[in-house]
Amino acid sequence: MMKINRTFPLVLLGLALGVLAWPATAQPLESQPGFVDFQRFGSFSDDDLTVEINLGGALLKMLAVTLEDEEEEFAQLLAGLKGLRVNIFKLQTGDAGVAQGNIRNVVRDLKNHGWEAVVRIKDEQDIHLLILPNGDQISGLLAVFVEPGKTVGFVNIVGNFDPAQIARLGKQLDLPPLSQLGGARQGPVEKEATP
Amino acid sequence: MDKKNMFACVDALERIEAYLDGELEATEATALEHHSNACPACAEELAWARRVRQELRALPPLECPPGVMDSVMAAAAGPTATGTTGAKAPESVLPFPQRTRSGQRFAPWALRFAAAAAVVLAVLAGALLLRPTAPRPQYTAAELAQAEKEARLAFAYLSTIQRRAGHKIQQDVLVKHVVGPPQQALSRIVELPQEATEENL
Repeated sequence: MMKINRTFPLVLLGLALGVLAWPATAQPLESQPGFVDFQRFGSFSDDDLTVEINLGGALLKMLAVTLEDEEEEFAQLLAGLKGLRVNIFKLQTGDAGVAQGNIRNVVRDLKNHGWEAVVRIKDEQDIHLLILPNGDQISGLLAVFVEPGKTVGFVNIVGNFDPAQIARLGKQLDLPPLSQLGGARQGPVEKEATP
Repeated sequence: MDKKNMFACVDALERIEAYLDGELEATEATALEHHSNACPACAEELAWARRVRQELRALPPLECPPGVMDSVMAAAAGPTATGTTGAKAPESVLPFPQRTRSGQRFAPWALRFAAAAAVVLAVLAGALLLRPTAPRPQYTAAELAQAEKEARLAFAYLSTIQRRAGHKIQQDVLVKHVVGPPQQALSRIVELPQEATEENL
């Protein structure tokens, strides 16, 4: 009993310092559990990078604030995200086999680290859809799309969100067709990674 | 020498107040009277004490201002007072802390714990107040508009992938389990190539 009484203040002090240190050091996006490094899928050339979207948590939260009156659910989804990333590369003829092999290895490794494969399509188009469960929500989503001879695309959503929200928003939002993806900034752009 | 003559001046002076209050025994009172009759100094002290007492009694009694007593009694009773004898003490009356066996109101470890907790709280509060906060990034309207466009495009791409996956799954199920068997049966009859009925992705 006496030992507890003497050590408890030290425990309190440690907890207090921990609480102080936690918000002071912003966790980089790369350390978030739902983050997937696209470089793991292969060293695609920057020249082949047709679309890169890299939105960090701070920007997404600010965007959520601006949208909360107009599109409440979309704003709620964005507010919970720490990162939203898309990379689309042109795929040279003959690179598809290598890319698909790398993708399979990475997907296998992710599944060994808690990720769950939701969709796996292996055909002319190779599609992987994985999620990282976190209770009722998911803390990460990875979508990989390979169209041999054409494109390989990666989508990584980092942060806690309800997967049903994305399904609902896919119907509610007036999402532009895929062909308009070229309207995004070309090549390496924003590297804002503050969650 | 009898007892009434055995009083010394010191003994007489110590008993004057008690004598005037009527608290002395009869023998002592008689001895004091005999001593004061024989001792002018003690007689003068007795006379002076008697005069002071008479003059104090002659003073008019002080009246308490109206309302003061009522206020005091109301404050002492508190809002929960029941006014009954033996009732529970009002909540506004706090009991004295219980003493420990060692005679202190608090155990030493409790005092140390409280002091340590106070230090921790002080450090925590000070650090929270003085902690440098990271500058919040500011975004222009153009940056937010571009971010909104990119976010929509990202979800559009994701939605497209999901649709393609769903379409592929539905198509696989349709071809293998719905279209496939009748088509195979039909091809055996009319010898149509199987590929002719499959929709190209």
